[in-house]
Amino acid sequence: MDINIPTLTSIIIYLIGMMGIGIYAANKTKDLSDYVLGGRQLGGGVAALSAGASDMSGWLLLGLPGAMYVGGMSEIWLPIGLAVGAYLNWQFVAKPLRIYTEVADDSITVPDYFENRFDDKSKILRVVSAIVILLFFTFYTSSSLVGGAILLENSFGMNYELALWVGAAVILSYTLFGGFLAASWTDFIQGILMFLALIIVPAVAVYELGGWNDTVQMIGNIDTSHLDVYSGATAIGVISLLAWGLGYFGQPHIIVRFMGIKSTKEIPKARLIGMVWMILSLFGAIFVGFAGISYFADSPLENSETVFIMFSQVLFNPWVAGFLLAAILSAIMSTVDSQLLVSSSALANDFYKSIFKRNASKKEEMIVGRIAVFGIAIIAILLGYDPNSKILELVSYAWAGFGAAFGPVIILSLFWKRMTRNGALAGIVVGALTVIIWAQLTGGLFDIYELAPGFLFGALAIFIVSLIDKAPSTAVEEKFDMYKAILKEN
Amino acid sequence: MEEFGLTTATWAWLLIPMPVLIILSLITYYSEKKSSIITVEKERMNQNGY
Repeated sequence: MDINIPTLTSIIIYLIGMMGIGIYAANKTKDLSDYVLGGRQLGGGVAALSAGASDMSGWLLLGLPGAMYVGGMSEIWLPIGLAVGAYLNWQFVAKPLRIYTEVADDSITVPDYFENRFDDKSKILRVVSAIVILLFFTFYTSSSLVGGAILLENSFGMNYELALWVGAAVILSYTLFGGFLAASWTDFIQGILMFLALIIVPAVAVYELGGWNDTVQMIGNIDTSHLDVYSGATAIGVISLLAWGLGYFGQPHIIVRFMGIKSTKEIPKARLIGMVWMILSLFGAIFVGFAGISYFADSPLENSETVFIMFSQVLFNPWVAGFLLAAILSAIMSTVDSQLLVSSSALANDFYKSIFKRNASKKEEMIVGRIAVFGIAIIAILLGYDPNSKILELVSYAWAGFGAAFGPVIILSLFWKRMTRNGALAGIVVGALTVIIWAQLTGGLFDIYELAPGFLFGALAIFIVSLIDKAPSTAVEEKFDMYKAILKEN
Repeated sequence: MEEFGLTTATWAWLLIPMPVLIILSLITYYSEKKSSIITVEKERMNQNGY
């Protein structure tokens, strides 16, 4: 192992700081709503950055720069698709969802909302949603743990398998003792750190390469196809990359941040801050990978997803490098804490309490929640054990799963009064199964990213089943009318 | 030596869609802020009876 003391010290200072903020904010937590949604008291800035930081996992600092490093400008369809999806989510889903979750018996989680929106006494919607959450968050968590392992392996020369376990231990300790208690606040701080790192690293890299023109010139000398957005582009490839944007509507760890906003009046401010943060961060990630093509031309990187880590080490003083590497940990931890928070509540509240023990005590619920966190972490470690695991591949599967299973249900539940409980159930099941099956198939149309067909078939299933089904009850329709009236006033 | 640069289409895809979303967010921020001020003002006038 090659431990660089200043770098390690910077990372430890960062971790202690994050835990301190987590514990301080936890003292202000009074009940479950405070715990999950920050008591619906998040200001626009905190909601925006915590939604952004929860959204952008290690994928932003490792996966996207890695894809740009390999494919050059032909990869920019992916960030474009994501930015459009995020904007549409803020513009058309944030306000209605904030209002409806409060009208629907003050729902604080996505399964909660589904159950209350459709007045589902059978609890089947809650249980099926919890299964989807547990399944796909395991893959998502795995991508984060792989990110942590890549960071430790490349920063401290640790063996990959050992790095996976050590990284998981660090991330889980933080999640359980700090971030898990105050995810919104720690996400906010981590969002700022990620943003700074993504502005500083590409700026210094391009400067070191002699400026923008020299960087582009060197890349052109290596391979001109890196300079062309259409290079190697196929319709299926472009549609697949743009389709990532559809995933936003169904990500439970992101949309809960909409539910936690103090007032709908904060949403335009949150949308503006969130979009500026996201787009500048995406540009930063694009240019990290792009500059890497030129900088590492003589000694190509073994793992393309290490390009940000390598830049941090070769361009900066070890103390600064430590904080830049802490930004990667920020990206990973700010996503993992939000996802484990959702997973833990899915297993304890939505699954265990609904099926096995309806009168489970708060303490019992908490223990089951913690067991869920450890169970998911162990399976996620095993999934990430393959040293060739790619962050982008793991994230893309989980992203598709949530986007297809929950996205159409969330959107149609907010805009279609005639939608029924059975329609919602069909949408979740068809969306999730399409992603699972489509991902196993290759060739022709099956090369399209599984999210696109999953979203489409999920939406069709909702329409068909809802129209065949008998109309929703008067109580459900009255609640919908009440929500629409409040939405109109706002 | 041959001069290289990003293709025009690449510049367009880089500099149009994403910055446009920031501009749209700015426009909706100011337009929604303005309409919420008007709503508050109307409510105040209704309460005062004029």
